[in-house]
Amino acid sequence: MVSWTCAILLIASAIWAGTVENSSENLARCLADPTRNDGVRIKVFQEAQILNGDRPGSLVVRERGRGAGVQARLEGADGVSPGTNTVTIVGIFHAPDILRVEELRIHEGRNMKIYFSVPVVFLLGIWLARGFRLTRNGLEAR
Amino acid sequence: MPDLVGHIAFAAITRHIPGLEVPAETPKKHPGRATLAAYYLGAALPDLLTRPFHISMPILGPYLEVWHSPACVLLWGVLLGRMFVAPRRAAMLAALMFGAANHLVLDLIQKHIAGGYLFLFPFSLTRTTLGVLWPEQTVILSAALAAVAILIVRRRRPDSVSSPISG
Repeated sequence: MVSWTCAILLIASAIWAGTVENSSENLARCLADPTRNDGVRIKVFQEAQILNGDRPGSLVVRERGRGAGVQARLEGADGVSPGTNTVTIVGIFHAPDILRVEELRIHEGRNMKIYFSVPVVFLLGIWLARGFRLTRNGLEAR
Repeated sequence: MPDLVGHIAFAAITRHIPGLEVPAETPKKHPGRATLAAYYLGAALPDLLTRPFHISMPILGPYLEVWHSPACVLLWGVLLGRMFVAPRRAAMLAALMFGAANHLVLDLIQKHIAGGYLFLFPFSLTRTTLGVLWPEQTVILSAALAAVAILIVRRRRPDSVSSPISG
């Protein structure tokens, strides 16, 4: 009963928080109705990356956490290079697909954090295997 | 998010702070090994619940981020705590939650121009942090914490059985 209650609360929390987050002003919503959202201030931070645009020297930001094809052309991001690091951008959306940058932060070393974290997960697995054994009743301390 | 190296190192340091003890357990063959494993699992738990999905399936990010909040981590702790065998379940749950608290404290120091953590969930969906370090600066912090943790563990090893969460 306790387990089921926790599981239901966790699923409900995820649905609630995700729905609220996705219904806030964001790049995907602006792109869905560019004219209406012209001039809206948005935050782009859900696994966003800066990539090369279709014209030489142009940049786009793609926010993978909002779905496929959610990307906008960047203006005011002088001196920024495309890369694999994730970014956070606060800016003003302009129709049809332009994001004028007000604040931009590149998360340098984010990939390094992920690579360094993988061995820790394995270490954790070893600690757990050394600390517990699986029995019919659950995890029992060794 | 400081990386898991930083979180585990921070947990290794704080488990030696007097007064932050996890309830004692009856030592068996390996004193405290299970408690220590549960404690370190807790120290990584908020990221383990969210980051693999966030990175591999970013579309789930907005939904699963909430599992990084204290309220949801507590629910996960209770859920995972049910997996431990009954007589020591409370001790394991305490160790797990103490580790998770360590994790959340370290995440709280970060600074964001947008994004951040839902620490106040379910009372608010506002993203809050204390705004001390940018996420990229925590790479250096992790290295420093790992160095301090190694020094402490090496110094404490002879009397490790008497440490708060002995290993």
